[in-house]
Amino acid sequence: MADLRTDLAGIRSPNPFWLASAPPTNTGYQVQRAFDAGWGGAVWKTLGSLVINTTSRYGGYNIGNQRVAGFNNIELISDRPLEVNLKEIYETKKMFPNHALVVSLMVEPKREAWHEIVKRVEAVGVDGLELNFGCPHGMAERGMGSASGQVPALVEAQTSWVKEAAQTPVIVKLTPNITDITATAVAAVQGGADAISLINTINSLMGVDLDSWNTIPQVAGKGAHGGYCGPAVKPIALSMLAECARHPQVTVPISGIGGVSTWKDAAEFLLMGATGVQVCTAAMHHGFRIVEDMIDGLSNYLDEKGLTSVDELIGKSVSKYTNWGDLDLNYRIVARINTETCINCNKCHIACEDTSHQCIERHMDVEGKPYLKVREDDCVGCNLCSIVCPVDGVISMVEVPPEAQPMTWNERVKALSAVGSGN
Amino acid sequence: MSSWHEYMKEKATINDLIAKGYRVTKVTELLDGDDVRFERVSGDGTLEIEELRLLTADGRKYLGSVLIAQLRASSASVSSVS
Ligand SMILES: Cc1cc2nc3c(=O)[nH]c(=O)nc-3n(C[C@H](O)[C@H](O)[C@H](O)COP(=O)(O)O)c2cc1C
Repeated sequence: MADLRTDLAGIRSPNPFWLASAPPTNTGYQVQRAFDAGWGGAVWKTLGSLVINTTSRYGGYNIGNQRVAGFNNIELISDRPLEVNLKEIYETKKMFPNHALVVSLMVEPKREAWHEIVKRVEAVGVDGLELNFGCPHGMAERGMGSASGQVPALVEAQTSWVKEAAQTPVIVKLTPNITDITATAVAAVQGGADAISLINTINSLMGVDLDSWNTIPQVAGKGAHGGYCGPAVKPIALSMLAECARHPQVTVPISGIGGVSTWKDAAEFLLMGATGVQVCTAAMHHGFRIVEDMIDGLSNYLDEKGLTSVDELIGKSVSKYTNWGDLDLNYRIVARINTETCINCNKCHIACEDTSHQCIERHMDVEGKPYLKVREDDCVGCNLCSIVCPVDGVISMVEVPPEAQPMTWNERVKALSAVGSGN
Repeated sequence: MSSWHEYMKEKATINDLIAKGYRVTKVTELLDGDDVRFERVSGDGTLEIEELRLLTADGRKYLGSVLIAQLRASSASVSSVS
């Protein structure tokens, strides 16, 4: 069995699966149960300036039969006294010395405030700190969370203040509510961060109730923007992870967060440069025991790939993520329809005819049976037909021999300027 | 006409000019397509010019590959001379 242990900037964990700072890590009772269930680490629910929460806090986004494809919240950080949390953290760490116990922090952007909380939290024996510069709602209105996490200079300054006082590794948790997440990632590194984690939740309004015209969720007839997470945000999180992982100035390890629900999601995050993953929505939807499948799945996958440790997976796809201008324009795939398994629903034909390149033809065979055929010369290999096809494996996108040597857009631009071009 | 057939015609014209000894000497990128200038020097030393407007994306892409091959060949011949 492959070795699942990870080491994120010196924070050791029996496996790469951590619970993210959120309701699942609100109390000692919960974190201890989570560790018993198999989670390798937990980032304690954010501690800091005391808050008062609203009732009605969450919204679920269901798509067809899939419940909680997305999840939204307007919950703030921990509303329990610091001392109570610290006592439970101390007890939990004593009971689980080999698990990673990181504590998330958020205070006003003032040096003394950071120093005070860092010292009090580290005194109870934690493995690391995570700075919450990401919460998009409630705290941001008081200059904390994403309000300071969107300003690279504030990220750098606050990280460096924490580093002045901290003895344990410092992870900076980034907000996705910014155009270029690498700007704040680099600022965190410049401030001395030992690692970064991403993403926190994305600004969102879950919906509007068509009967009452209230927002969803609503608090006494009013709503406010919240933070979006869950399976629907995975592609956004993955791209932000990839941008950070390939950035030459992001020289610290990354903890990947956002929509991780299965071992496969986790493996993708690891391949794209994360040293481990954090999970919130999937645990809230299905409970702590989902980690069992995650551990088994990842372990089997590593064995199948002939890898002896999770470290051998980390970052293996980063070099495959590049700029559009460096993609090979002469690479060519076309759609092929398996007429044996096709159910002739015509969804591919409609999609191609109405919204793509009109290259899926409808024919009748000699027995009068309808079948669909791709005119491969006109197929641009966009994938749309295979995406809308309701039966797995009926439409495959197959590689066809290229017409010429590989050529990227950037190479073409260079060649054009070499002979003299104008526009 | 499907854009594939349009492209095949453009490709054939490019290949024909190259086979006749023409070289790409200028490409002007316009909103309506690429204007490509081909030149060759005939046996009696006269400069012969052909102009072609490429409309299809595949045609413009193919020309890029032809041009890169032309530049590679000329840099190879320059380095083998020097
Ligand atoms: C109800 C709720 C409360 C959260 N509270 C916090 C918090 O206190 N501190 C924090 O850093 N992130 C908080 N988060 C964000 C999560 O830690 C995580 O970054 C985000 O949910 C994305 O992961 P997921 O898609 O697995 O849920 C919260 C998320 C939810 C759903």
